[in-house]
Amino acid sequence: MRSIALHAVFSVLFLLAGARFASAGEPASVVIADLEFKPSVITVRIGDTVTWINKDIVEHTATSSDGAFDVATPKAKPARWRAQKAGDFAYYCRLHPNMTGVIRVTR
Amino acid sequence: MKIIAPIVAGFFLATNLSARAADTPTDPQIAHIAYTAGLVDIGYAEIALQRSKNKAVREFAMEMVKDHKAVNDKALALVNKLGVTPEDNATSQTIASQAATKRAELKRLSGAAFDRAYAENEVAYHSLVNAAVDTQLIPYASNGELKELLKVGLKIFQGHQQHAEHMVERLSRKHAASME
Repeated sequence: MRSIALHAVFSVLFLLAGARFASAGEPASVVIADLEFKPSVITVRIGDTVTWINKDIVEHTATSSDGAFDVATPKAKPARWRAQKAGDFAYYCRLHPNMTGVIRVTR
Repeated sequence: MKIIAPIVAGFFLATNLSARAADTPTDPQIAHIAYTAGLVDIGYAEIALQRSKNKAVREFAMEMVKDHKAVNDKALALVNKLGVTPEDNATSQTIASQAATKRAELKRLSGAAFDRAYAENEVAYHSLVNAAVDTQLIPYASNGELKELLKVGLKIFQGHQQHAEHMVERLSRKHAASME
C-alpha cells in the first residue's frame, strides 16, 4: 500500500514538473521548438490567451482533439487562442501528429 | 567514388546494422543522401499536386513540398557554412533510381486509385527513410551540427509518416463506403 501511495505522489510531482501555471491575466506562452510544444501541459484561466511561438523551421498547427480550436502556427509569427470554457483540451499538430500538448482551462 | 553498398542494403532491405559496420558513409555522403531523399519526396508531392483533386491529399502534398524544402535549405546552408561539398554516392543513386520507377507508376494512375497509391507510398517511403536516418545516418554523422539537423529532420519526417498513415485510413474508409 505504501509503495502505491509513494508512486501516486511521484506521479503527481512528475505531472506538475511538466506543467506551467499562468497567473490570472498573465499571457501564457507555448514555445514550439524541435517538434515539441514546450511546456507540453499549460494551465490557464477562462479569459486568458494562449500564445504559441513557433521557432521551428517548418509550419505547425495547434489543433484540439475535440474541435474547440484549430490555430495555424506559422514560423516566427505568434498565434493566439482565447480560452472560453473550462476543461482539459488535448491538442496536436495536424501536420505532424507526433506533436501533442494539453491546455488546462480553470475557472 | 566510394561505394557504400551495405548502406543501400540497410536502407532498402533493413539489414542488420552490424553487418555493414566496416564501410560507413562520410558526412558529405550523408548530406547528399538526406538531400536526395528530400528531393524525391518533393517529386512525389509535385505529381500529387498535378493529379489529385482530393483536398486532404493536396494539402498533404503541399506540406511535403514546404517541409522538405525547408529541411533541404537548412542542410544546404549548413554544408556551405562548413565548406563541405555533398558527395554523390551509390545510396543516393539507388534512391533516385527507385524513385523514378515509383514516379512512373504513380503517373499511370488517376482519381481515387492515385490518391490511395500516393498516400500508401508516402507511408512506405517515410518508414524506410526514417529507419535509415535513425539507424544509419545519425549514428555515422560526425559533425555535431549535421547530426542535430538530422535529428530534427527525423522528428519532422516521423510526423509526416503519422500524417500519411491517417490519410491512408481516411481514404480506405472512403473507398470502403463507396463500395457498399
